[in-house]
Amino acid sequence: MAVPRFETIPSVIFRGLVCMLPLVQHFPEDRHIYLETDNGVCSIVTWVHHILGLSVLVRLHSNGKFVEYRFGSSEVIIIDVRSDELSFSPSSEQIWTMDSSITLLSSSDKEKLFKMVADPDENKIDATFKRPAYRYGSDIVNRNLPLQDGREKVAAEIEVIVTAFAICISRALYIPDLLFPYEVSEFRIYESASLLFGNHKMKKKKVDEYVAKYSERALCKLQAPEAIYAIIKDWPGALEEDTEVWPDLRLCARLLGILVLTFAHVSDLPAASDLPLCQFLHLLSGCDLDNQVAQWDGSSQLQIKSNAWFEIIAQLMIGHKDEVSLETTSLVCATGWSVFLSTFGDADPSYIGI
Amino acid sequence: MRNVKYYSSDKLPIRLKESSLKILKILILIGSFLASVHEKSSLAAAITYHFEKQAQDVPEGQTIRATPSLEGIRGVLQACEDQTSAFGWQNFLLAVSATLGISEMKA
Repeated sequence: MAVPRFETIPSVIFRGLVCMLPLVQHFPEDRHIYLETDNGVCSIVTWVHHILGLSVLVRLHSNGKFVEYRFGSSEVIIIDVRSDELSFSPSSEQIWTMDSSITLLSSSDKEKLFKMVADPDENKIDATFKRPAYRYGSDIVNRNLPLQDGREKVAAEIEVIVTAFAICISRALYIPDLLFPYEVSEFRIYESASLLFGNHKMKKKKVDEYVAKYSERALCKLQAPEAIYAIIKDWPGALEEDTEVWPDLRLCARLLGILVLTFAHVSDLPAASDLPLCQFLHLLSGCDLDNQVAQWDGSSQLQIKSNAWFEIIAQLMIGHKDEVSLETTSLVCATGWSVFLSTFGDADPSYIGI
Repeated sequence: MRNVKYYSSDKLPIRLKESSLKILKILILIGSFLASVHEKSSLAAAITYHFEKQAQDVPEGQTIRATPSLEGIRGVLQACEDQTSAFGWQNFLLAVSATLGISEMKA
């Protein structure tokens, strides 16, 4: 999964900005800040230019040349982004290992007043990287596809496959000691998929075809369907062992399928469309339901625990694994949203309310 | 910043001078933004580290300024994030990345 490298500000830059920004704000004519960093350029510009109103010059270096972008006139902050993803080549390895640094300069004689470099024992700041639930699935799929021809078609196909996965999994679910079979209506699954993919024109016929094809089969051993294979076979490296595209897509589709199924249990879907979810989908790969699906042969039954859906949404809302034990938790509040195990007067304990 | 929900001055539980209030509002804005992009605990750790560094640089004999605890800072960030999560900081980031012509897609 791609790392949000343009969003997370390196710790040293963060500390530097906290120290130096007040000086620049007080004496914009006398002080300049010069930054060298690979990460966090978008966040730095938002912070410094959009919130604090200071002017910024960004220089993107690529193959020995650079392109300048200005945010506001008479810049007081200059950012050099050297190792742009697009410019990476084996010969520029020394640039890749460059550390971030921040320097305060005097405007008149360009004298270096103060320079900060990263401390070896300094911890890095992690990203949360949250996105609203609406179109969350499309974002994830897009991020997992290389920039090659036909990626839109592959993305559209994955949407259908995800919905089919969700339906296949839903048919195998059961709760022990429940007298009647556990059912998730297909209508709810379609609604949930159209929220997560922002697509209200999902082709039911196509989904049904995939459901028929994939039922009774192990979801994590499937080969790439022809429609996708025909496109990715022309992508460089897409079929080689180390860089194969399909296993990543299949894992992504499996996790998204589980998420679609989870959202099918949300009582008020339109209201949940703004719910911020962490974009690190692999957080779900440790959850109980996914562990079962990963070893599932396609025909046996999948037993769900009472907090299965709660665990999945809470995990993505928190965005970190080690923070809390979800097994003993029944309410999670984050970013103004709450998810709880709604067991009050409920016949079915696996239903959650948001 | 119309969409950012913050307390108006008459609703604040304590009375503050106009200038302090302005600083407080900007602080909430920055807190809201930083917390929307970064994980709160590690961000709080970075702020604490900054304070520690500053305390190290204080000349001997001078009193060290009292600094808030890690939990305290984390709580403030949590409050900022909870109260302002409806604001779409993501759009600012997307606008900047579009201007710079960089994307987060897999190369």
